[in-house]
Amino acid sequence: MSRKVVDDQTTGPLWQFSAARREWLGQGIRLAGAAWAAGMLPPGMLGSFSVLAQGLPQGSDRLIVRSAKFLDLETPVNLLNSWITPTNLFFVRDHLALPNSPGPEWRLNITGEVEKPLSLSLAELRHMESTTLTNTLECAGNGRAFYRPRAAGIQWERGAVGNARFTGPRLVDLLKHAGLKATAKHVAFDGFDDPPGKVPDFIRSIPIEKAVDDDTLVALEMNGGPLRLEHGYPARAIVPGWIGSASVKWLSEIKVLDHEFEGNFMNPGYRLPNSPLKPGQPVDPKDTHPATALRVKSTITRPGDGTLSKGRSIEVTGIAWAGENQIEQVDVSDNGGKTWSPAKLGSERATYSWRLWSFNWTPPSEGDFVILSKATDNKGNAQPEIPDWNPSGYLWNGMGRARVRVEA
Amino acid sequence: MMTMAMITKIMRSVIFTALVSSLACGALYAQSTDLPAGAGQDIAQNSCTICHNASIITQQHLSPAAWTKEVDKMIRWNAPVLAADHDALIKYLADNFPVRPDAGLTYDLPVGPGRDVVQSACLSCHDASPILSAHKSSVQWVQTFHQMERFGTKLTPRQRAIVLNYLSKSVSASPQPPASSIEGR
Repeated sequence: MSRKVVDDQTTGPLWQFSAARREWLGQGIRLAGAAWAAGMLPPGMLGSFSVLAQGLPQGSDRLIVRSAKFLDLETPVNLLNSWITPTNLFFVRDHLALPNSPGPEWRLNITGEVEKPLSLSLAELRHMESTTLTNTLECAGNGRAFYRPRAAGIQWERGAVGNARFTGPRLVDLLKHAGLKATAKHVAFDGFDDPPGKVPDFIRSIPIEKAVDDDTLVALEMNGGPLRLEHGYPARAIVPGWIGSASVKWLSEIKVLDHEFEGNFMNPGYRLPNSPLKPGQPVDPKDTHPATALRVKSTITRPGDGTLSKGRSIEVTGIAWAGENQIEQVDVSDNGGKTWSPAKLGSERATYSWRLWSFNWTPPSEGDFVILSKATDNKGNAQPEIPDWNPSGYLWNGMGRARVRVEA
Repeated sequence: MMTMAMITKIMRSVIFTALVSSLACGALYAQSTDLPAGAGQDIAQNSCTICHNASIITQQHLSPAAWTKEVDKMIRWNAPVLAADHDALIKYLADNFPVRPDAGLTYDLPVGPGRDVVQSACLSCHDASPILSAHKSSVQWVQTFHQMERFGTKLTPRQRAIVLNYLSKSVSASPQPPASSIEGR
């Protein structure tokens, strides 16, 4: 009595691109070109037009376009149904214009509190011993749309997350080559993307302890191929288990510092209040700290929210991750959390990777249900129904949720 | 007296406007990302969408204070906003993209007596989804009220009664909007 899933697509055609769109883009580029020639455009802008020239990144037209400029693409959750997220379906979060792909002159410079500054070519990096690590990357703003009061920023829902294999030299090996001075306390990553006007450069730092962790990489590859431009070609940091913005893309400089970097994207950007706030309550910047590791979280990938289901048994599937911790358990409820039943965790696992999970749900009756999912990690942290509010809407990890109407 | 810098600024503004208008008129963002018409639309186009899409604006729902913060940040980052246009731009943004507790919600509260009280008491801090899925008893709801009061929710005894009545009468009876169909096994 096996009937197959016909359709669980829930996302509208928000993201469909047309021939007219491409034609129009051509016009935009010509105009941009003319303005550029006349010296009227800030340098950061041209890159964004050149990506528009190609429309979306290749094969990414099933993603939700939160913004086309700057490029912010969210994965519909029903596509997050494999342990490894295909690169073309992986969410994209760019703060600034996508830079042009660099030529052979590109170098990665290791500078700052080191004995011997380094300048390495891509070929030299590729010759180093490399490590492959499967890492769940999640934007700190994933789920921002669910916070009340709303926070300013891209209104991500559930799909600014993906799981991929990243390959490249360990950051610690590069730092050892350069020789860390005793004053080395933090490591800052800077990309060659160019901010327009006085927009601050996207530079973020991590503490030295995380930088010299064996699992922190300078990734050159993603899912077995060279990084695509929108994912940071030719090299990006991979700071496993931490918010996506720690893993800076398009690296050009790794600077060892004797203090935490103090630019906009460290402060006021990407900070959390030290103690819980009432929703909407302002916080003194002194009472905040940088967001680091991801929180325990599960998301339902099927059935889609608002599904009409016929039949006696429905397979509920999802993903669950916990940053630097391990997923211990995922539970499912069909009665608002009065009772919970454990889901079956998928066999594929890695230290910083999500687990797939599934639950064979037999609806107790016909009618309307809200299916909830709740993840628990190996440190005993459980996914809350609603997370504490914070002013910038970071790290939302409220329970997974899908409404289903069951008919005979 | 017009300086060279001012002329350049105006020239830039003209070219940006031409560029941006061509963007806005194209098929590209016609449905989801155009800036709505109204006083100040031209300022927003000239000041904001020269660097980023309108969609970054249109997906937001912010208070006038929060919009002021965003605009002032962008001005610090060199967004071309004339001092004379500053307040008009914020008014345009706050009028067109205001705080609406249930704006864009997947989980909307069903119609019923007391909905307005629930909306102002609860949805200014979170969306309706936890309410709709909770299936709590009156006793459990009272416990929830205590919890929420610690976070700053204020309800008079009368409002509490209205909210409890709404939650027991309207929420449990609310229909769920079906979307697509799947078949079970």
